[in-house]
Amino acid sequence: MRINKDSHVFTIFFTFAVTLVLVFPLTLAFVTTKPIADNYWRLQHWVKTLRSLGVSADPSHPHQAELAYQALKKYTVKGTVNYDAVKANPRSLAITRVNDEVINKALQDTSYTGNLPIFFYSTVVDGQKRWGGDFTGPGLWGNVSLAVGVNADGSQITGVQVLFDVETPGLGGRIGEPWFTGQFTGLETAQGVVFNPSGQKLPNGMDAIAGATITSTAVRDILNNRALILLKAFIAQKGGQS
Amino acid sequence: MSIPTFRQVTKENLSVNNPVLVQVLGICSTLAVTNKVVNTLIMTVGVSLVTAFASFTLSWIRNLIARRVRMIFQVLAITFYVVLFQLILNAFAPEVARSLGPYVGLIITNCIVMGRTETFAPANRPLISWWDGFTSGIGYMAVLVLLSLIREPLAFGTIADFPIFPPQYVSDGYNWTIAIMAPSAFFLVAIIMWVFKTNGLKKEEALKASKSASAIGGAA
Repeated sequence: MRINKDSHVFTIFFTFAVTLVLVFPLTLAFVTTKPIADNYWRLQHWVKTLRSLGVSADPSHPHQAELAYQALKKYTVKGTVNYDAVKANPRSLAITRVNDEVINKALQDTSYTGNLPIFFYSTVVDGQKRWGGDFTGPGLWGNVSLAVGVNADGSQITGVQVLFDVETPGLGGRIGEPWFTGQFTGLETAQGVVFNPSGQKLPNGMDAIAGATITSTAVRDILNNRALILLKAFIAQKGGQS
Repeated sequence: MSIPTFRQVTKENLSVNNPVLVQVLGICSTLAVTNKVVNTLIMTVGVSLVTAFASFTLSWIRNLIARRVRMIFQVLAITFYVVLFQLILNAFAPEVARSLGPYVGLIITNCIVMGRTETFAPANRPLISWWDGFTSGIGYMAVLVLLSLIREPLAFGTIADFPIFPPQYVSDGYNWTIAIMAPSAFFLVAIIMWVFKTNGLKKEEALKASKSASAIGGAA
């Protein structure tokens, strides 16, 4: 039988058939690779969260990283955050305890998008209280998600790590490199983080990446407009407890 | 139209009708991903495989596709292989997937893939279409790797992350910021194209190639 490939019925049928045939292997590939991608994302999350708090962690020892991560006290935010309201009144932020299952579920949902909910962490390093959290904001191409840690009174940053980004390779994508993330450790938070003027190092100054203005600004804004405001509220509410 | 041989296809795609230098296709990714050798290699391997298998698939079902809906099938097949490649990268090379960012997904709109599946695959048998797609990808890879071998040392003082200049090159700011950014590839592609067209091609071949390139309508 000769097929009339130009007939409407055949075209519609054949399009559906081809789509079905292609969708099945893709679904199979997705289902088999998702757990591997999830494991990687979870391990990154553990290690980088710990490092932002000033706890050393090594991705080649996943079990130790998991145990150290489990030892952190974890909180999340109820509902959506009104940053202006929180800035005016730190007590208005509704913070609640959260367990590891909730976080694991959130990580599974965000392994391809990086659109993490806000989680807060508290721990004690060398007898000093440390506060931290995950904060996500818009970059140039997609979400930029940072793990940010501060010291006991919130006056200094103890570490910034990039949990997720899809920025331009070789330009904005370099925010994940240690020379960039390392510069935040020890910065003062009272006035917010600013870009260093050429040739100077300010106590609250970061160096932008040449050629990646939008991504550098995104990192600065996530720090100033999200991370530091929420961490201040977090400390104001939980700082009194031991 | 005579049936092309494997040898002819190879020669066409690697030199006489090189997708980047002669057809001027795939320029967006040529500018975007060539500032690191490793990223460039992974990206071009992806493009080669996607072009090869998409051409193979479309050639295989070419007699069942009505001409006016062919683009739907091209996009279906190309997207299928690109998503597959992306899933595999995400699972087994997450660092590379992250550093390539949005560019892997953008292989879907790479003009070389579209060009080969539009012009070659509907008119030829599956195996030669696979070979045509693959060698087109290799022709693209050759140019992009050459670009990255020039850009990465200038930009970061390294080749494939092995330092070739002293660390002061970057830390004291002697590196070329322009080499990190896309415009530098514009200059380099133009220079390579110029050298290639003046010396690399014989006169009549250059004439023939420019004719076929303008027939395809080279664009990014």
